[in-house]
Amino acid sequence: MQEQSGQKTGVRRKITLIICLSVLVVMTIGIFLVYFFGANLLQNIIVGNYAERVRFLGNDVSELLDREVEFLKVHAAGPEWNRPLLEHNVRYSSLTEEEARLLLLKENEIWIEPVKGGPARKECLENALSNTLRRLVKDNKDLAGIYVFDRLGGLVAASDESTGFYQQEVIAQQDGKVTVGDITFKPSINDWVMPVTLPLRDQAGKIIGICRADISTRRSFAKLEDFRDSALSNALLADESGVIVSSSEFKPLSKKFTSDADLQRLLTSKKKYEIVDNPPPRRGKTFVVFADIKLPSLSGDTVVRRIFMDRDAEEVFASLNRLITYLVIVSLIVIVIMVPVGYFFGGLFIKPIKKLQESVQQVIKGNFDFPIAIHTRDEIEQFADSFREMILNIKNKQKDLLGAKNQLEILAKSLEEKVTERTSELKEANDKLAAALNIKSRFTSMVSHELRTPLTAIKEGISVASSEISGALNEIQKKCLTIAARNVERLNRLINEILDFQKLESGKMTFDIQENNMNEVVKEVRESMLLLAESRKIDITLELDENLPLAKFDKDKITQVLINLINNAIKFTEEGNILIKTSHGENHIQVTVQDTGIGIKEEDMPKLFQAFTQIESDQAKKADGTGLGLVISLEIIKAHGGKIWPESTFGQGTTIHFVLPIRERRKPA
Amino acid sequence: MAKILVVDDSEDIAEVTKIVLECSGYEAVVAYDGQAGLEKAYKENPDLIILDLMLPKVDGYKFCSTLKADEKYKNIPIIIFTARTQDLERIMGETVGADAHIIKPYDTQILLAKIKELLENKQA
Repeated sequence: MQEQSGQKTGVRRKITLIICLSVLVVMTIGIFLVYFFGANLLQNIIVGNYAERVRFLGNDVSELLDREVEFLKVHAAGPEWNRPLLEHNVRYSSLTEEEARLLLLKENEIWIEPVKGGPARKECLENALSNTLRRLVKDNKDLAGIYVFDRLGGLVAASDESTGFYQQEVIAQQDGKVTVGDITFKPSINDWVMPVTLPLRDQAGKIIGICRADISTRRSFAKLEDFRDSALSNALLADESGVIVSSSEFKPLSKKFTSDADLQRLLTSKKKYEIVDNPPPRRGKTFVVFADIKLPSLSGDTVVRRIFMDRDAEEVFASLNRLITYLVIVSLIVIVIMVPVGYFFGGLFIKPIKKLQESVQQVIKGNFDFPIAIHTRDEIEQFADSFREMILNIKNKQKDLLGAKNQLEILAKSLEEKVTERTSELKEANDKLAAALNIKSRFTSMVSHELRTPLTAIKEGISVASSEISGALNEIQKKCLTIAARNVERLNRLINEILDFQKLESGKMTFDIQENNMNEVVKEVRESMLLLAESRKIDITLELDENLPLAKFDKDKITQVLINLINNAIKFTEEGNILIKTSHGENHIQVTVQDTGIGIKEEDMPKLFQAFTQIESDQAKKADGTGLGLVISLEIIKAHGGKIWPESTFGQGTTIHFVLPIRERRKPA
Repeated sequence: MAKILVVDDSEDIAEVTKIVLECSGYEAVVAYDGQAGLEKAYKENPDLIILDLMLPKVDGYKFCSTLKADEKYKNIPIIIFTARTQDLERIMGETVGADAHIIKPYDTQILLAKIKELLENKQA
């Protein structure tokens, strides 16, 4: 197929573009949705996860503390515990509070110096209670050490040497309740411990001493350690005022981990998490979750500590950003895939259309039988079907037209032949006619001239006899001669008329055109005709136009016309008057000959100017003449460029008008 | 003396014929049209009629058939005058009862011989 130079590929491009745009729009909407809703969701998921774990941790620590406190309560009863305490307390009975304190400080100093150790250390570490304590610590892995102090804070028994002798602040804090102290590092066991103190009472319920247990946080904080899955993640244990008491980084950080306002916001948050500004020198924002630590068995709902866990906010949102990045990449990949797919599908749509276009091209070239093979089972196939039908229609129409054209050609050809045939026939007939006319013309001319010769002889003979040169004639002889002479004259006139007519008909009549006065001509004709008219008792009157201009005409021929008209008028008038009028217009002069004769019937009018026709009449006797008079008059007037016409009412006379142009307007011969 | 009626619209021909007949010893009566001819025929009761065909008012054919249909006048011989030699047969057919046809211009001797013959036949 001949490819069109400006072939269009728009459909394919448009479909591809639409697909790409759709993908882009969907992806953009997706990104927006992910950003606005997904971010929240993800945050909740991540944070919820953290919060859950922190809560577990808090519960774990709470349970541990609770359990250990229960454990101590169970074991710290009985005379084994009370007796040494009571023995120690006895020492203070005789001393004032100040004296007792000084004693204790003195003994503490000896305690700190192991060399000066002496009896106090030995007494404290090598009594029966200390042995019991050591055994308890050994059996309980969560306990790092147990220490028993007397009423004023002096050491009574210890599971190891790692504590001081005088625990004044412990006593001061102790007001009969179980307390949890700050987490401290215990170098002897290389572990962080959480000191829990509980009062020891005698049977009467009076506080006789204090038991302090260092609870190892190793196992609990191993869980915190687990959170160190990211370098940016950190777990903290802090007190109610936000002062960090422990960190998963195992660095004692005795400072507030955030501002009071942020802390307050965090603690009142229902979400149990918040994004807070990092305290200097750290910058940026930190994502913080927390969980409360409570001792349900000892202090009820009172929050004793809180576990906080912070995580860099950037890192949390980094995953969100990562998701969006993935989305964008996926979009781009989809677009890259969809371009060829769109191109392919576009091609699928275009293919039948191209076939159709090809068919149209073929039809344009006149190939109506080009097959249209489109089976797409859609609108395009429908369109192709319609198109096929249309082509069939056109084809049929063309066939019809072709048939009609052939028929027309045949008809035209036969018509042409007929025309040729007829033309040749006509030409033949015309030639024959021309020849016949020529023969007739020559014949008429010859006959007329030949007739004149004997006529002249007859005329002369009659003339001689009538003159009586040859002797006198009797009346009958004279009468006969008069009749003969009259008829010879008539015959002569007839021959002249025939010759004139013949000349006019063949165009051989010559005219002598001069400027003449029609009034004069009319007067002369009247004079010549007067005698004849009077013999019939007919008067000839004139009504002449005094301002009649001169006109150019052949005087003799016009005289002949007038004589003819007046002759006719006399011939057909029994009695009465003949009126001759002249008048003129701007370019013509007019002559009217009016009689009071029998007139002409309307049906006879057309015959008036026909050759050899005499109007038959029952009224008048047969008019003598050839019937050429009016025809000759008509020819003469026509030759002058004028016009002649009759006007008559039967029984009331006849009027003949003729007009002549003032200037010469002769028809060319 | 036999009386002959000449009916011809040409005055000259009628006059000349009259002269010929009178010089030959016949009495001649002239009429110039058919109407006048019939009137003369009824009035004069001629022995013979010379009739032209082309006549005003009543033409020769009508004249002939009218007279031949009349018991009183049907025996009057009629000689038809005609100038139209070509139509002679047709004219003869249309003028049934006419006794002779003479073609114009006529020969005087032939005309007179015909008249004599017809008059003799009539008397016989």
